[in-house]
Amino acid sequence: MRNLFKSDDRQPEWHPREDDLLLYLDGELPPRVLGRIGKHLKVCWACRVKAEKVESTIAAFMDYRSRAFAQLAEPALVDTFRLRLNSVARQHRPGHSLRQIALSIWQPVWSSHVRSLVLSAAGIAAVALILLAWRNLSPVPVSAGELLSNATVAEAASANDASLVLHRSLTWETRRSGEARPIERRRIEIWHAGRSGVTARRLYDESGNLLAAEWRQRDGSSELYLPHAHPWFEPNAEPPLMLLNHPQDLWRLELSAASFVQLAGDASRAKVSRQGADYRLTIGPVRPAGSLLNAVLTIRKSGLRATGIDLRLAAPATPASPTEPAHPVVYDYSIAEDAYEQESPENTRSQVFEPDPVLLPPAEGQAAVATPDLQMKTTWLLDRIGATLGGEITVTLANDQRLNVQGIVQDAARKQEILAALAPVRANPAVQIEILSYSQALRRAANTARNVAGKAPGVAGSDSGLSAQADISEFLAGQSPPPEAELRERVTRFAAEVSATSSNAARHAWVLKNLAQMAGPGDGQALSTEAKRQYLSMVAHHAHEVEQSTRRLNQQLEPVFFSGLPPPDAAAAFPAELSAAIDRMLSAVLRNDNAIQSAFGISAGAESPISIHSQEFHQSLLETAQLACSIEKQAAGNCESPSPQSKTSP
Amino acid sequence: MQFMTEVAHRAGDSRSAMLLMARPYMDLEQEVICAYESLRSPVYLYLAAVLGDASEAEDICQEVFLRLFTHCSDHGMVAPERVRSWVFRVGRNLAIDRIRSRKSAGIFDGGDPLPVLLQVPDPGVMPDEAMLERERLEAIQRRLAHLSSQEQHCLYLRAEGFRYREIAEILGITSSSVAEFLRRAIRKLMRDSHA
Repeated sequence: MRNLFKSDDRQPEWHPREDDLLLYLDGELPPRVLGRIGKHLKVCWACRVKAEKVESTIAAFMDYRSRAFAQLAEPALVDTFRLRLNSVARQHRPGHSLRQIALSIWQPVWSSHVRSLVLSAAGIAAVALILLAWRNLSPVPVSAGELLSNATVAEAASANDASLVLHRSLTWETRRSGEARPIERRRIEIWHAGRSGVTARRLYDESGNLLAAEWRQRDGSSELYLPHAHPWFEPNAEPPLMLLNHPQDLWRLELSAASFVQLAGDASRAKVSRQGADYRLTIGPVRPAGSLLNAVLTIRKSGLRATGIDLRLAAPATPASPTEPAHPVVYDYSIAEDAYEQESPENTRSQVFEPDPVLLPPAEGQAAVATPDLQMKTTWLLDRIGATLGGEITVTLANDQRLNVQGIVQDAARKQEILAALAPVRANPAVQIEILSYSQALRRAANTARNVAGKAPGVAGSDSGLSAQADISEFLAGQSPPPEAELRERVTRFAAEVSATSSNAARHAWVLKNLAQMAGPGDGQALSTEAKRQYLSMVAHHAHEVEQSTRRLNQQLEPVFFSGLPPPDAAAAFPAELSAAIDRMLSAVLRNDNAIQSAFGISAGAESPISIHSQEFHQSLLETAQLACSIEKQAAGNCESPSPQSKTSP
Repeated sequence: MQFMTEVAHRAGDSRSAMLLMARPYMDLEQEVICAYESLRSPVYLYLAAVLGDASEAEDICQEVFLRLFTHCSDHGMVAPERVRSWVFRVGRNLAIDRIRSRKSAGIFDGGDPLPVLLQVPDPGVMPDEAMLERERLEAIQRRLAHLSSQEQHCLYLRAEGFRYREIAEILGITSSSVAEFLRRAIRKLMRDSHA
């Protein structure tokens, strides 16, 4: 800057420093220097360009900033802030007024002529007394919101510390409200590994018997173990509020400030009190419409860790007699921390993160050889989310006796859904999973320089090429004569609907065929009871879908194609064995589908041996529906025998 | 009264200023609520920028105004012309505390200071122009990530319209340091942009 003053801006060799240009543009230089640089810029193109570069950099930043800010949500509304402020003001006011009184006493003393006496012992004593009174009478210096927020941060810090394994031992007691003696007492042991994010939680009775356990992953998914039962997978953590609907599961409630906030809703309303080494946050009634009447969270001052939670819940009771009204019974549930330890992962027994033997299903090994049960269980897990349909995911037994679960799915979200569904078997060494999204598959194909653009089978479908168009047009035109263009559109729509219904039946029939092959001879005799139950439930479901689709086909086609035909005969006897019945049903479904696709000109395959106008086709549709119903009935025993009238009526 | 009217004027909100002048009396709570109404957006945006997290910014933003209440309650009113820099200073301190606690918790990923969804195209912009625009914004975002914390604070506070002296007061540094941080920030943004 000094060089600038010494220089003469009229000399051609003098230019302001680049750094000073920013100060000049910001108006942060003395007026005299501002004037000099301003004058110089008028005559010097080089400096003017430099100044414009600074300006354009600022403009680019400001543009970025305004775009970034435009994407942010609006800050909280004033109403939300007002609630927090009211809470703070309620706690602050008593202390405020006391302090004001103290100040009002102190200030005149200070400003009086006896200022020299301030140094006297009496003055010091007065100050000490005021401070003591202020300290003793002032309210708790923390708000509920602040306390919960800080406790949540502290909890997250401990839980995410990769060098720690946390162990907590809790006591869970249930009482009838007003009674001192608990009606039930349980012990909860929790192990949490910061590195993996896994939380293992076990519930014991008073005698030390293991009643249940839960393994929760970092992503919130969990596996629930009950003795002698297959583990139950939950893809998402159950919100604390949902646990209130079934209090027997309260042992799964996370003892934390975060849980309390979710339970209490507007936690800023909580009253904060001190109790020895703890803060206690009390709120209630929390939700007048719900079962939660009162909630108290205890937070240890040192470390800000939640060490206890007390919940008062109203459970609806059945009336003693029909004339008496039902009075809800109120229960108190308390979960309190007995022990808290931090260990290093090296010093922690690995068994604490492994399911206890009593919780493992008896027959399912973890060997690297896939059993028929494992194959059925994997298929069942996929079937529950519809991933077996249309061959989206295939489950095949490889030569190395491992189970290959493969497929290409629409997007990453679907992939995640499928992986989450497969969680119970993902850790099994006998299961190899390879699921790609379309984009991943394309990238992989591009990397290996292979052309993945497979040739689709010839599709000759077109509006004008429907071989059944004349019949459909005649039928639709007969209902209410529409214009030519509209008629064409309706014909196309009708054909698409019929084709989709038929394809749906075929997709489910193929799943049934795969399931029957997987089950092996004797309809799954080699399977365990649980695997067989899964097999039969899947068979019943897909057979039901085939039946519904076939009936729908019948309803769609009957007014157009079957109106002049005699009623179909009663169905012949069906095979007793499921696999044989499924084989026969698949043949029938494919024959029907072939006839439909051929009639509607959608398939480029060979012409169908049967015509959709024929009595034979009509008969085939009804037999397929009856066969599907019979399979469903055999698998689940819950399908009513259809009557020809009910099937053909629209 | 004068206190909040000044705040509203300085925030460029003439409507709020008129409303404030028309009110006969406001107690401290109402005054703080008015301050929140007038200043919450700039404080929130500044905090979102330096924290890179909108929800945390919102939480701290409310905390700032709660502290304004307790401060005024304990120590008397903040001078009207200093309220704006006061809330930014407290906001900055709370943000730094939050970043420290995140680092100690091991959950600070050190990412960009203000992530922006750059995929959102402006309606009516040609695809090639949109592509160039996106590249330009991505470049700025990359360069911003290379600024030091102090440089970012100075830059965003300057963008809020603060003078160097006010920025110095907020950050607890000297005006010449502010000038130096801003010079460095602009130089980094400029150098990269012309590289």
